Amino acid sequence: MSYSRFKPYLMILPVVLVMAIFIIGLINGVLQSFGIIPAAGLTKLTLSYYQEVLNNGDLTASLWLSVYISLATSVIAVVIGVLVSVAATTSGLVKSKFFQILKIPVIVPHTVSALLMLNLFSQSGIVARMAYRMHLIRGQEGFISIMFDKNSIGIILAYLWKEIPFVIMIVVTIMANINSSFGEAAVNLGASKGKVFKHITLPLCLPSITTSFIIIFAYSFGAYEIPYLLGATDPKALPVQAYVEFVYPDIAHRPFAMVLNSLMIIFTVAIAYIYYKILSKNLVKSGMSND
Amino acid sequence: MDNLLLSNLHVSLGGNKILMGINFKVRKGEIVSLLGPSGCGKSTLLKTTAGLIEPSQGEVYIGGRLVNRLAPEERGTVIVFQDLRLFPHMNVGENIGFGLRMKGVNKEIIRKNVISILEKVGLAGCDKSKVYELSGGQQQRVALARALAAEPEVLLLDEPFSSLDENLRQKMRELVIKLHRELNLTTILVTHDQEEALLMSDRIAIMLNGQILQYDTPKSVYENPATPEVANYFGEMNYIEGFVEVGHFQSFHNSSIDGYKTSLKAGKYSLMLKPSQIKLVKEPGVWLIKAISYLGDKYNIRITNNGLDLVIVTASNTDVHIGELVNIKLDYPKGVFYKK
Amino acid sequence: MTRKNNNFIMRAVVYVGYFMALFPLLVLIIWSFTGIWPWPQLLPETFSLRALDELFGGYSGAIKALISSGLISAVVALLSIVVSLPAARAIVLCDFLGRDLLKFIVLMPVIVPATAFAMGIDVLFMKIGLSDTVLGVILVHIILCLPYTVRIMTEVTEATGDKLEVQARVLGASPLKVFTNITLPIALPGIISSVCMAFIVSFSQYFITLLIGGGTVVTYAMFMFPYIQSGDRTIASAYSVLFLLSTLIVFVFLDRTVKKYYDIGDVFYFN
Repeated sequence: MSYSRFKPYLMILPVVLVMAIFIIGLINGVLQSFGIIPAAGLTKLTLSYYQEVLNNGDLTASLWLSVYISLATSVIAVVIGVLVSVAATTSGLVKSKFFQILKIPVIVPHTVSALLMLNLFSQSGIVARMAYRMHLIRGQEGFISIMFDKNSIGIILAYLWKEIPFVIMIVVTIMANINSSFGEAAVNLGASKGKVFKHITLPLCLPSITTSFIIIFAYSFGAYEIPYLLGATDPKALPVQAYVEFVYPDIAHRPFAMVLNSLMIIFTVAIAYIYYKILSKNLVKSGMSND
Repeated sequence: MDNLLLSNLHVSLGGNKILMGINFKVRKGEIVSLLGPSGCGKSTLLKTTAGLIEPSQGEVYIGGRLVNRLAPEERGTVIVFQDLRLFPHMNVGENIGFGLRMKGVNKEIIRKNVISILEKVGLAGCDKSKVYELSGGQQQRVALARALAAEPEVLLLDEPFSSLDENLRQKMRELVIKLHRELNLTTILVTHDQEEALLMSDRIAIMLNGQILQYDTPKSVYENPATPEVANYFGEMNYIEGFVEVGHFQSFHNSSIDGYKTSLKAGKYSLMLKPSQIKLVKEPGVWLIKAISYLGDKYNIRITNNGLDLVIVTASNTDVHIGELVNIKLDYPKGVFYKK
Repeated sequence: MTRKNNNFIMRAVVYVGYFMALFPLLVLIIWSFTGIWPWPQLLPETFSLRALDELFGGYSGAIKALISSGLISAVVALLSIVVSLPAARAIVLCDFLGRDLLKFIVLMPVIVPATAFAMGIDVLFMKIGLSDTVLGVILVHIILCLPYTVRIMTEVTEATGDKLEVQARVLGASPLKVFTNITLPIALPGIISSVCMAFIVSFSQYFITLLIGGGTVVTYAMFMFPYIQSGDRTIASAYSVLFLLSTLIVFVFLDRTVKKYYDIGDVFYFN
């Protein structure tokens, strides 16, 4: 069809405008981290804020805490999610209409997920009560406080409740399709079911699995709600700490918040970019088009 | 009167020249075929006529008007595509009535038209059926009916029957011929099937590499192909190189091929003969039978002698064997001489 | 391990999954109707409708927040579609400068923390007067929804191409008629998916609405947040249940409406 040469640009214009606001927001944030805040009279580009933040033990502790949380969440979510997807595919349960139940947590907001975990795993939660009934612990104090602890187990659990179904949602359909179509071909050539999974299904699902890993990692790294609700007092997760700095009464303190934000931005964009490069290279190699 | 005229048409797609200097005329009520191998540009020609592709040079006239600047929906050309493209969210009747609905025709009139066309294509009563409920052959007829119902000035068919099995294909060809006779609609059919082209067309345009090599009646194209490329399109041909001298043609090959009296000018020639134009003479001879293919009521036989390979056909009730040595007789009057 | 044992384990894993998904929600519902639930009982000692009274009583403003949030998210969802559909068609069907770049940028709001973006844009919005306004909130919500809606619409467009549109044009339909008679109906399942996705994303937002909306724009998610922070499990759970019910109602409503007006059958069948 012969579209006029300008038509595509017109069609993408609204999206471009909206995304421009997004990009400007990011750039503005990064500029502020370099000390450029006209409203506070700061106009000189400087790295001093970065130096201070990186030398400040408290702030770097926040950084490592967030990395730990997101790494733990994404690794566990992907491993368990893939295992459940495998179980669902091989048992055939993926076709049952009850299977949609596993996708329900995806619709529940993270805030509610925090509450759910509190209801279950706090020292007065359902799991603690069951443990008491089964004589595993002797009182509320016997149940280890996992909710606001230093290991952020509460936070990770709250994320996992949503992210494992997320992984399943992304992976299981592809896995089922590949398993049936290519699986048949492979079995025909003499491969056992286990080998089919290992050599055919899993490798072909890898792009989806990696995609979900990246999304979960980036999200749990930069999200505010769950670490705020379930986090220990100290250290705070990076996004929470960033907000604390942000609402500091003195606007000249703002660059510290923006340094934390910029670190988050750079970190997540770098990961996404690397992933994108690896993904396109691999797709070209395997001759598959995922786009 | 010319209903369609393409003048000096040049079309490029993605940097590649697809059509190069096409001049093409179709008379009102004619049914012509664009015949050629994949990639020769016949579909591109069709789409350019319909306004889906812009030519880099040249003009398109429909019914005498210059339509270069007209949008596809204003040209009066309708295409039936190979993948049918029936609208899945509409039933059969709504699909067929779509063209008239776009023109703003009264609903009652559309309904009557749809019913009458459904009858013409043999699908009476199917107007409320869902598209996915129909068989492949039925869907094909709906696609055709939809195009006809839109009352086009020129009907364009883009290899519409290639995905059908032989039986259905024959039925659809007969249907198109019947409808054409009834409606006298100018029709251009794109196909790579030479049998189809020969059967259905008033004229055939043979296309190769973006150009029309010959445009004539089926008989002329088949019996007097303008070039070897055209001839080859209708099947495997035999070429015998030789020369004409003092009114006599002699092949370069040894004298196992007889000479022939001809009034052609002196010079080198390539004699083209169809397999059916070389007769098998069942007597011990110098031509060795290399292979025999059974084709139902005839054999395709490959013979060789002294480095020259020929293909001949003979009735399948002939008694022949591989390894046999036979003679041949050329039907010179039917052959075509190409000057080299 | 025999195949039968293997299958049993697989099924068990999936059933455990069902349990893990549903059990917390069940506990949530029980908490909503709890009066007193002392340790170490496994079920509440008394039940109460206290939470219902608080929610629907009219004093708390919960229902008002629910309705206005619903409206905001509905607007966000609709605008996201309006913006995404042409872009998706352009990305799939046309070739233009910066196409791959656009595809990457559109995905960025999913990767880059919304918190970082929110804090970065805050000052800017204040300057242009969008801070503390509904419009500002709607705008940032749209930004967060685009990765999903553009992705879904792109997939839908890739599946159907523009073949049907081309056919409609040669049959005499102007570009506008092609859009309303062919493009929209065929894209409808994808549009509904996108609307649901965008609604959820917008309805669930807390931090960014807090920042950009100031205290002026209060969505239900923001309303609910302090209650979850507080120790009052009953109220917090009730608010959560209402949240989930509202989302469910929206989904079911959309699903039914579509099924009633369109009978598309298998949309990708036309080959």
